[in-house]
Parts: sequence; structure tokens; C-alpha cells
Amino acid sequence: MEGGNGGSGSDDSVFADSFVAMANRAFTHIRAGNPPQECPGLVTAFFDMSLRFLTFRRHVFFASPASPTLIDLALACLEVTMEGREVTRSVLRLLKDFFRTLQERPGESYVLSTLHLLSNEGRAAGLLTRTLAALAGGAPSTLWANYFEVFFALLQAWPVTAAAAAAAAGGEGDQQQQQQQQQQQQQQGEVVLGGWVEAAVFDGQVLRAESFSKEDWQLLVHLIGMWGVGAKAKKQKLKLVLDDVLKIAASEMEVQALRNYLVGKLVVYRNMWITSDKNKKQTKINVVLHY
Amino acid sequence: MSVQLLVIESIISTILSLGKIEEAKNVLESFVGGLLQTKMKELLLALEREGGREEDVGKGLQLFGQVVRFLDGKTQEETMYVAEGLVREAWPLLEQAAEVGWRGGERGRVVLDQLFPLYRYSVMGLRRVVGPMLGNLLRVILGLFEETLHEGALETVGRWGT
Repeated sequence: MEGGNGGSGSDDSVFADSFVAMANRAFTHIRAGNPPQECPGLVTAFFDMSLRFLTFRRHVFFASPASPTLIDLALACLEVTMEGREVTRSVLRLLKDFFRTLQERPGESYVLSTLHLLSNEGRAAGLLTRTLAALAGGAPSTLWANYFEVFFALLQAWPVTAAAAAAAAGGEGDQQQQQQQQQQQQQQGEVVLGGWVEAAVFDGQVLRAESFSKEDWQLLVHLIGMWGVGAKAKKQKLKLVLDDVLKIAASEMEVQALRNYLVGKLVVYRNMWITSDKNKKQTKINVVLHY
Repeated sequence: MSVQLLVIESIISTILSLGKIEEAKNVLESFVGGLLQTKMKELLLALEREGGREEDVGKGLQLFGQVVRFLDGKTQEETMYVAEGLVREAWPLLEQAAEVGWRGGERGRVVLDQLFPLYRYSVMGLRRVVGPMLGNLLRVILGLFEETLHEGALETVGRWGT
């Protein structure tokens, strides 16, 4: 038996079958009137096992027919209050590594199917909303760092995955044209991501800070986009911003703190695209905020 | 503790989890300062609540005594040799343990708590012996999980793949 990506074919086949069999059994149990919060030990062990498959048998994990259900189960677990934080932590560990793997290895064969898996039924958007809600005070403070890691990993992984999936689907033209298409796809991915962030931020159920005006929400969307997305992302700055949001939501800090991030700066919205009505061509624009 | 010693410990633990405790207590009290003592005592407390079969305890303790005597001052290679021999010798009892675990209940759970780590350590540390049995072993583990949903099966299969 070999670890990582290098398991032999027969080994991988054996483990693929085992993974599916065990996942199916666990899911059947959960669906038969035993929600995750009533079987935390099983859920924890299941996600820990899945994390090992993701780490050491990556292709088995991503190619498994159990993967969509696994992601759905992860989302379901984050929606309910689980007894014992280790359960939620094991779910978040898996999700973080899931997105990191996608980001770090965009050239793999499973990237296209994984993109579909995440796009379908609003899985990625739902996860983004859920993690943002948790970061704004909707989860125990001891899990805040874990939620942040998932949130950042998702922001980083999505555009890269979108571009890689486009490449995997096969572009037309020469190498230079294909690179341009990939860049476009990455930018499109960032736009899609921006839409999700905006929807999540403006979702009244997610962030309930009374002191926020519409402009403040917009500013938050901007800050998340600026420091969370793309190669120039600044993880620590994003962390500070979201930590401030948590404090503002808890009335421990004034909303001015958020505005201070932009004091003295001329801020340009990055990679914002508009579509003209006539010819449906996309045009890149810059939106400038003055503070 | 080397993985081979963990194998040895978990073999004995599994066998003991099948049986009564009085004889085991007597032997353990005479085994002072051993690596396995603390774990054994924990096991015995669990067994005290469950009871078991006398003949299995006798077999387990006999193996345990042989192992401890042999391991005194031996090298890791020799420990490996013992662990391998022990797995072969104890296999029928381990199959019996799987059956008890399969039947479920609190008693089954106690046995599986010992049996799954044994499978795990064996796969990690005793490839020569366990390698040819991997397919069958995996089927046993999946069957046990199907029946009992014991978390140890998930951990075993997860670690196995590493």
C-alpha cells in the first residue's frame, strides 16, 4: 500500500469500494431518523476517515460517487448545533483541505467534475454563506479560526478551479489563446464568487449588525474581495476585517473600524465585469470608492 | 511503543475482552512494571462489567505470558517475529472476537473497541503476515461496520489507506 497519489490501481479500487460502502452505510443511518447531532461519534469518525482519503488517496476521494453526499452532509452538520465541538472541527478540517487541494493541484483530472459538484444545488454558495454567518458570531468562538480557514480556502480555490475546469474541458485555439481563455475563466470565477459574497453579506439572516448601513455592507464585500480573492490576497488582513465584523455585530466595536481600513486610500474595485445589453459582450470596469 | 508491541498489546486485549477476569488479574498482578500493565487494568475494569468465557481467557493469558517472557531484552526484529507468530496463533480467537462484535450489544462493543485497533496495528506493522489476508480482513471490517456502525471501523480503514 502506498500513500498519497501513488496508491496502486488495485489498492485504489479496494479503497474506493470501501469508501463508498462505508459512506453509504453511514448516510443510510443518518437519513433513517438519526441526524448528525444524535450520532456525533459516527460523524466525527466518518469525516476523519474522509480526510485521510483526501490526503492519501486523493483520486479515490474526488472520484467517489459518495463525494456529493459527503459535501451535503458537511453542510448539514454546519447547519445544526452539534454536541461537542470536535464534530464540527472534523467537518471543517475536511472542507479546508478539500479546497486547499483544489487550489494547489488545479491540473488534476477530477477538477471539472468537482466544479460541477460544488456548483450544483448551490453547495459552494451555501457553504460561503454558512461560514460567513459563523464568522459573524453564528458559531462558538473556539471554532472561529477553523471557519475562517474554510472561508479563505474557498475564496482562494474557486477561481482557480473554475479556470482549471475550463482548461480541462478543452479550449480552442493556440496556446496563447487558451491561456487567455483560462484567465478569463478565472476572472469569471472571481465574479461569480463576488456575487456569492455579496448575496451572503446582504442576507439578513447572516449578518445582523444593526449599525451597518448599506454602504458598510458594500464596503465589507469590497474588503473580502480585495483581501480574500486572487493571488494578491492578504489572509491576515482579511482575518482582521472579519474579526472586526464579529466585534461590531456583538456591539463591542463601532462600525467606523471597518471604514478605517480605507482611510487615506483610493480604492478600486478589482475585476468587476458588466454585460452590455446589446451584444452581451463583457467589459471590465473599475469602480472607485472615495473616502 | 513500537507498532509491533501495540499489536501484541491489542491481541492480548482482544482475547481478554472475550473472557472472565479473575485469572487475568492474577497474572497481571505478578507482571510488575510492564509496558502493557496500565492498558490491561483499564481493560479488566471494562471486562469486570461484562463477564466472558473461561477457556478464552486461559488461552489469552498463556499467550500473554509467553510473549512477555520472550520480549524481555529482545530486539525490535525479534519483537516483530513474536508479533507475527502471535497473530498467526491467535487468529482463530480473533475470528471469534469478530463474531462476538458482530452480535452487537455492549459486550460486542467492548470487544470491537479492542479488535479494530488490532486490525489497524497489524496492517501497519505486520505486512508479511497480514498482507495476504487484506481482502478478507477488509470484508470483515466492512461487515462489522455494516452491522454495528462502530467508529473503529472508519478509523481503521482511514488509517489503512495511509
